[in-house]
Amino acid sequence: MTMQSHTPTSSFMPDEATFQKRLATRNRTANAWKGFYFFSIGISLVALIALFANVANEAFGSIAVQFEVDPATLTADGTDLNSLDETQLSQILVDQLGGRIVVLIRDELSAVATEDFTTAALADVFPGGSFPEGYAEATIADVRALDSEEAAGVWRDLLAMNVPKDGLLNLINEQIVGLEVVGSWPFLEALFKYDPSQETVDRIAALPTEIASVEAELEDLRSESGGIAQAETALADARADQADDETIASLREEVRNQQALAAELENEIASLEDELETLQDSSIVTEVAANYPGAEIIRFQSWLDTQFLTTQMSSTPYEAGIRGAILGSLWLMAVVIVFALPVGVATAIYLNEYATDNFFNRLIETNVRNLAGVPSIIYGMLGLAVFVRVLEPFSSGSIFGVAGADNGRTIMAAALTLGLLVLPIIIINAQEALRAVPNALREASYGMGATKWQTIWKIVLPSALPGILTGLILSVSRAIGETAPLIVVGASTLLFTDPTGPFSKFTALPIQIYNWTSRPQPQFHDIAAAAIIVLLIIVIALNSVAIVLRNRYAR
Amino acid sequence: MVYAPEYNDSQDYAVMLENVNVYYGDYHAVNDVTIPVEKGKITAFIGPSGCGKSTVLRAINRMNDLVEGARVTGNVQYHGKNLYDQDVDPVEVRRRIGMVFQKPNPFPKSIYENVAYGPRLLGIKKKGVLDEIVEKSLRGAALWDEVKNDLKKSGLALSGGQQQRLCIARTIAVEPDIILMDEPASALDPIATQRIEQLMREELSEYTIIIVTHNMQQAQRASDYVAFFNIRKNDDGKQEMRWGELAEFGETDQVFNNPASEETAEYIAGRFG
Ligand SMILES: Nc1ncnc2c1ncn2[C@@H]1O[C@H](COP(=O)(O)OP(=O)(O)O)[C@@H](O)[C@H]1O
Ligand SMILES: [Mg+2]
Repeated sequence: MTMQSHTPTSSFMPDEATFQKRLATRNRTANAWKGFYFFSIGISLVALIALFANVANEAFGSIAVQFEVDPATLTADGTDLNSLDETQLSQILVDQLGGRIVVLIRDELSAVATEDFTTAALADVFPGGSFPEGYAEATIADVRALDSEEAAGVWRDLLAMNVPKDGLLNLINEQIVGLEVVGSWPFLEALFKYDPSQETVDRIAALPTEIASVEAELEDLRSESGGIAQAETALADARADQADDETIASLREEVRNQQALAAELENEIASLEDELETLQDSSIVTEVAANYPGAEIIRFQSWLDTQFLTTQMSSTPYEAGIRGAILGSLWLMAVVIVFALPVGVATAIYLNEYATDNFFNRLIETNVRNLAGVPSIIYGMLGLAVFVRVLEPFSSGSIFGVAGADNGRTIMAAALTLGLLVLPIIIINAQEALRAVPNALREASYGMGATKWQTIWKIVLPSALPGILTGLILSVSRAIGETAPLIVVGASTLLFTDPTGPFSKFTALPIQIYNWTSRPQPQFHDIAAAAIIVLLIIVIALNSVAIVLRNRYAR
Repeated sequence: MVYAPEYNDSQDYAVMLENVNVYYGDYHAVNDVTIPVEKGKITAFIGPSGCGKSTVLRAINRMNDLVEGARVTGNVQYHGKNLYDQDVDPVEVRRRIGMVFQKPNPFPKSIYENVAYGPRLLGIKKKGVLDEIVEKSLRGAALWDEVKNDLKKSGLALSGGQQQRLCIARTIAVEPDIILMDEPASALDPIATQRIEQLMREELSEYTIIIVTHNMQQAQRASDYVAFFNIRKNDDGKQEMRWGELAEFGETDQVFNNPASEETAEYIAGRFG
């Protein structure tokens, strides 16, 4: 459309035709840029989805498990173990383990040292527990001396009275069932490669016979009375008879033919075997049947389940949990907040509300901004040198008389390191938030006769609080995912106890993930993926809180 | 020779500015201002933009202390004391000389908390006392009837005119002697403006008020005294210098109907500024 032009003839403006032409170019440029923006968004989306898909794919999937003893055979009528009571479960343990039950009590349950075990009274073995009538004072040796039926009854009651049901189930699983994961498959494979087609099944069933028949044929051919031997004998005979060249040549030809036939058969066998292998690998069911003939079941496995969240670290991936790592990460977060929030906010208040604009204060401010960009591993080195080594009496808790770790590689040292790491971010965000408080509010407060402290405390800080908290949460969510400084400071990778306070040794989620991903067994990668999901959920939850706060703040 | 109004040495003024100079760093913004502010009366500061009205007003409750590099010399006599003496605490000054700003600036708190803020600063904690102060102050600012049912509502949820009256209520809650108002109605519509003027004449009639205004009619209608500030220039060829000075001070009727100087007459007639 051409609009009516009011442009006077002597204008600097382009004439109508030029204008239209340039307009088209301008629109093209605009569209090109818009396309670029969409493309960029597309890339970020694809990257995000790929990230999640990859992690989820590993964290869920199928496993093939194998038992030493099928749990269904443990009960007379095959009832589910979970529906049994403590006494019944204890009975199973005693029945199945026989004399080993004493070893189990000594190694897994007893409160007394191994060397005192046999002479210890039951009351010492389970301090504060309850005991079968009349046996509290009896020693282990006494019970052993009973006739075996009676002893079994005592062991059963002892276990039933002192071990919770979960514990009994675990013991049965560990000691009797002996569950072992022999294979695992990621989610997509479990979804698309589970069942073989009927055709495949038939072919797999048929192939061994086919192979066998070809093998038989080959064997025939190679046997003493087989084609090769015959041909060779004929040739040898002919040579011995000094047959004419022509006959020898044709017999030699015959030998070659027979050998070629054998080679052909060999090839056929190899290709049939290849086919079999390919067919077996084409689905999980056939793969298990071929490779783990003893495996009892293939089942869906979510590596991320309540058991994973609530149990301790273990060196078997199927039993490993991340309770210690989660607790470690929570402790770290708590100490980081307690340390970095007040210090960071106080610094920001000083810089923003008190500091005059002079060289010294500008220097501090510039440095804070630069510190925010220092690689985290460098903070790790600092933490190792200062918090772990120099301040060891403090970070190990020994100056407080806390019986914590025997060295400085504790939650305290790591949290102070992470605290330093996020301090600049907290300061910068808090300053940003303080700066966003309108000066009019400060003036209003001063105008009412408020002191500087009252103004900051009652007007400025409350107004800046959402912004400060947003910054805090974002920095904590960065800290919780940091791995390098924790490795340098010396988090434990195989820790079987929960952290009990700021002076404990600890492990943390990223450490656990790092450790598991660097192991060769594929099941460790699966639980690493499950732990990654937990970490991602925590980080995303934290960031969502930050977004909600920020939105409320913007209103 | 800088203009200075005649005044009666023996009279007890609400506040007496004598030869007040204000500097922002090296910049001499206001030169040698002398104004006697009479008790219980409304004094209006008028003059073109940048002539230093706000600067002088903020010198009266030491708000300029908050500006880095700002400096005041001269005598701001208040209850027999120069407010700029060493032993005067600006916090004390601002509690006695309250201020209402150009843009309504209620705290992001409830209406109740806005008004209770000042009394709480002074250590009043009893709910009953605070309730009473809040009601009295809101009535004093002619806002009570409009907000008495939602005192818990945010002060920011009010209209512009209501917000400004809330700021006035907040100011009078600490019972100041003097209220400074820096163009309190310039961000408001004509009806809200009228309510503020009415408020000054009626509910706030006991207070000494100093109001900066751009609006000649407002000054004429609402004030008892007028101080006219003007910009002085010193064009010495190298660099132009500008500063503000008091050009005329007197009763409103006299200044508007019978100005002593030509520049006042021109400004009032709207010929510049
Ligand atoms: N905070 C400040 N820092 C530096 N100069 C200022 C500041 N506030 C005001 N001024 C200057 O002082 C002069 C008077 O300003 P002001 O009192 O705001 O004038 P008015 O209120 O009469 O318009 C102006 O030249 C202004 O630029
Ligand atoms: Mg002004």
